[in-house]
Amino acid sequence: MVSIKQLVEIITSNIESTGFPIPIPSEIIYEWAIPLKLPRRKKRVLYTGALYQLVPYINSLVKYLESLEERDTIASITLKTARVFTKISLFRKIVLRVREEEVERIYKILRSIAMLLIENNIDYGYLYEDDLYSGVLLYDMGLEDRFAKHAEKVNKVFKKLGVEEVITIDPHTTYTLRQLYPKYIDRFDINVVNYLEILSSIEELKIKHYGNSLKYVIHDPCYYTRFENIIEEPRKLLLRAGIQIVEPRRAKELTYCCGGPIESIFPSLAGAIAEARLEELREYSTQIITLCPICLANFSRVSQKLGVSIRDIASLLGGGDE
Amino acid sequence: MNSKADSSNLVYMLSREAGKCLYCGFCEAVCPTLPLGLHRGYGPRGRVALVLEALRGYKLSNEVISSLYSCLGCGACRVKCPVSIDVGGLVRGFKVLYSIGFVKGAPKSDQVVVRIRRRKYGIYKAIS
Repeated sequence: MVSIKQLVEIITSNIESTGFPIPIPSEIIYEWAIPLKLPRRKKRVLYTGALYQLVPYINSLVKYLESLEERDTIASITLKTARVFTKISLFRKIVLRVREEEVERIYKILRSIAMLLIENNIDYGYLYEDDLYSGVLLYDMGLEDRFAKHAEKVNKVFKKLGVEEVITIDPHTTYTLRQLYPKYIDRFDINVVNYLEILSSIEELKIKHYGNSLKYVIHDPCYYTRFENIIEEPRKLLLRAGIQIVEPRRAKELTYCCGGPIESIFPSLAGAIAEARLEELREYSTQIITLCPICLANFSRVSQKLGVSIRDIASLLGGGDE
Repeated sequence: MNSKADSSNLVYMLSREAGKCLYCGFCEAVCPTLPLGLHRGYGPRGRVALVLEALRGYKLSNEVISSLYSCLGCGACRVKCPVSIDVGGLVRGFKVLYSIGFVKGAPKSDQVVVRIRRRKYGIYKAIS
């Protein structure tokens, strides 16, 4: 059986050597932005924290871990497997199994966010190869020193590029930059604003209107509602886009976690939690809206089995297909 | 977090936070892992008790450590807690102490063990 410390070490050594929890090709982080020709140097920049881009690779990794669990009588991972993680075979097993359309789906979400901001006259730049991972997993795993070191690295890049404000696009990165970086970095003075907050504060918002023809049940991410108080912003935007929102029994600050945060250590448990949540949401509508890449990744694994479709809020607001 | 003083300070803070627990169990109704776990270590009230045991020097088994690591840190329990215990933060504090070897597990306690209930015909059935 693999040890927890070993598994944590594999993930963290990946972050230290490649900058990301999974050894992914670095160009997938910024490839989506190339056709948009986003400017580079600006005081205000879009910071994705690479979480959306990691979704197809997380899914591939989790699928691989699950297949190992099935082979074992109890849900555990063999030591042999842990060894190959650090080798080139991980790349073959995880990265090369990712389907092109999964990556394209994520790129569309990111482009929707970028375009929504542009169309509403928000002036910003993009970091491209300097769009680093926030290191939130290091914090979650209790690796204080490593997280502090990683946060310092990200902050140095911001300072080098003269960044004064970052626009975040997911709950985990928003929380990390807004709540954690000031505690771990001396004089962290970068203003952090979420794209949902920006868009919802615009009076004359330019957005596609669906004419109340669509009905979605909303799944709130824990970190937006319980840690960042971003509750009304997505609702306001969906209503302005003419989308009917159905509130499930457990919504807003009483929302139910998707199970995603533990999918790299306990994939079967994470999957079972996602199933439980989707079964609850399905009672309201089979069309589900998510606001977080981790929820999107974990729900997507079981959505087909439960006959529901998962849509990210950005792609819906942007008016594009997935 | 390298110095012994830092670790002792964290132990003090965690003990104080965990010590607030009234063991009322309101938190258990909202925890996503508890309905699927095989014991109460998969729920917030159990996790508080287990962290306290670890801080008191008890060596925890692999089963118990896995259940602590299964905490999602989602914060649902904190909303329901009458004294607002941050169970996610408490478990993360345990992870800090465990990763630096300040709290120790029993032999072979580091192995990942997940025994979850599988639902069959609408009823959760334990698999192990």
